[in-house]
Amino acid sequence: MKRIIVIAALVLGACGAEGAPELTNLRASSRRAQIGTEVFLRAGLFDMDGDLEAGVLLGRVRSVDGDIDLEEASPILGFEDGRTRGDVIMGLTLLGIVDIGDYDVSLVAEDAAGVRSERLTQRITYSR
Amino acid sequence: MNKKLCVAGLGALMLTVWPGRADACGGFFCSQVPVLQTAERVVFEMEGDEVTAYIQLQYQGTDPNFAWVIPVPEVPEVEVGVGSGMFDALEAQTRPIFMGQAAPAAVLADSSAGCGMGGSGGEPRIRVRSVPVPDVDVFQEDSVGPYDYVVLSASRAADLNTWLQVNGYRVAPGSDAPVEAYLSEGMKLLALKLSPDAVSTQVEPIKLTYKDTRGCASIPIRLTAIASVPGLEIVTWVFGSGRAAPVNYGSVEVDPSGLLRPSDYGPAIAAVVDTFAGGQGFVTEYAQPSFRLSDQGDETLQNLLAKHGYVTRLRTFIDPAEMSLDPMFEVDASLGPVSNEIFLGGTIDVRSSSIFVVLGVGMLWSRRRRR
Repeated sequence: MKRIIVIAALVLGACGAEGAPELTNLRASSRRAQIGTEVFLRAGLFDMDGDLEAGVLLGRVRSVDGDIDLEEASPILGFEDGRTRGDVIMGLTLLGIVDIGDYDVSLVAEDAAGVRSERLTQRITYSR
Repeated sequence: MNKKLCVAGLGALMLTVWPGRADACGGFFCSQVPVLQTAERVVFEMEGDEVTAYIQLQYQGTDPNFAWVIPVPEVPEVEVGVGSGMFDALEAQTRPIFMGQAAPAAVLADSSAGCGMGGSGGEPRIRVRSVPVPDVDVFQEDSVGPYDYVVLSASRAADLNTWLQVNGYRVAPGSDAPVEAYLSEGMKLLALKLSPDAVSTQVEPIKLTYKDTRGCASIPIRLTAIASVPGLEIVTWVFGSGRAAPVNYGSVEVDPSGLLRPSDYGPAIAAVVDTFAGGQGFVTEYAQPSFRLSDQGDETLQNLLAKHGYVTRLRTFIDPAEMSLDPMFEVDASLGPVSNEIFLGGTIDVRSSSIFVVLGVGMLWSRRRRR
């Protein structure tokens, strides 16, 4: 029995904690982008707890070789009054002197309790 | 019979087919600045309340991330790659022919440009912002040929433009106001972009077929203003039962005696339009029965020539600030034919610093306001 509980905990840990927000169907506005221009990430979001109003979205850009790894947070919009399901959109702009090429752009939702969803990732090719 | 045909140009070239009214419009945008169009050609044909528009757009630049936005009254049927030969055949047969000079005229303005470069200096960083989910009505979303396209509407232009951006359609800064105007008039927007899977970045002609229950298909020019070069050249052909003339734009004429070279002609048009029509006017360059034209082996043109008895070609140069009114044209059977032969070699005061001192002696035929 203990073994089953441990396995279940491991599975939950891998998929996000119990009660964690669920991000689904991540779509980027384009697979190609220019450095300095905005890319939009859209995803479905569900949270049983209904505490997303005070949560945040975390947008992350990571170069394939890992040299660049940047993350910023922004409020979750549209989940007022305990709403549990909807879509979220984040505009994300990569700035500065960076190499052109492939980057993994990802999105995470974090509820008011600090519980995070799974990370959904889309690869985008940046150019100048 | 409704003899009114309204046409508002957005690109360098447009063609409108009588009878009825045709509206076409749009803007052509890429990453950060408008793609500079070298030519846009549109053929409209109306059968009752059904409008068929053939649109060919050409641009310079290598950025494939463009969006082509066209206000339409109803959800259109969209096809790709039809009628491409028709545009060249019409252009070749109706453009001005200059007599008295060996060199042919350069009829079309040629602008060169690319899209803006992105990027900025400094340490790598990202900027994020949350965007409210836009409230739009999506009527159709599909792919055809190399294009992805969507037909949508919204109560607010900001929502519509946000939706387009989120879904990978480029939107030019400043487009909210003209889009809002079209939405308030009940128009929908057709937006096209090259599919991410498109093998070619060539912008292929599109054919749009749609119902226009207003009894007037229109070609809004106001959205063009945000993505237009100064002095945008518009060439409009009107197929109908007789010669067409502008209703709400001035009809002006270039005095050929002031033309020394074919290259004088384009600037002379711009000068007389500005001087005698306040920047909103057209020169009639060709008006003849359709049988004088050859289909040159193009089946689409063959059908159009068989259906419509008369062809009128009008041309102007217009600045973005002057694109506040959608030009309308009507067939006026009392007007006579116009040849596209222009005889060069009049007198000109070469001591003048401006050739337009002489070329500006144009005639303003009429200017009947209709909004």
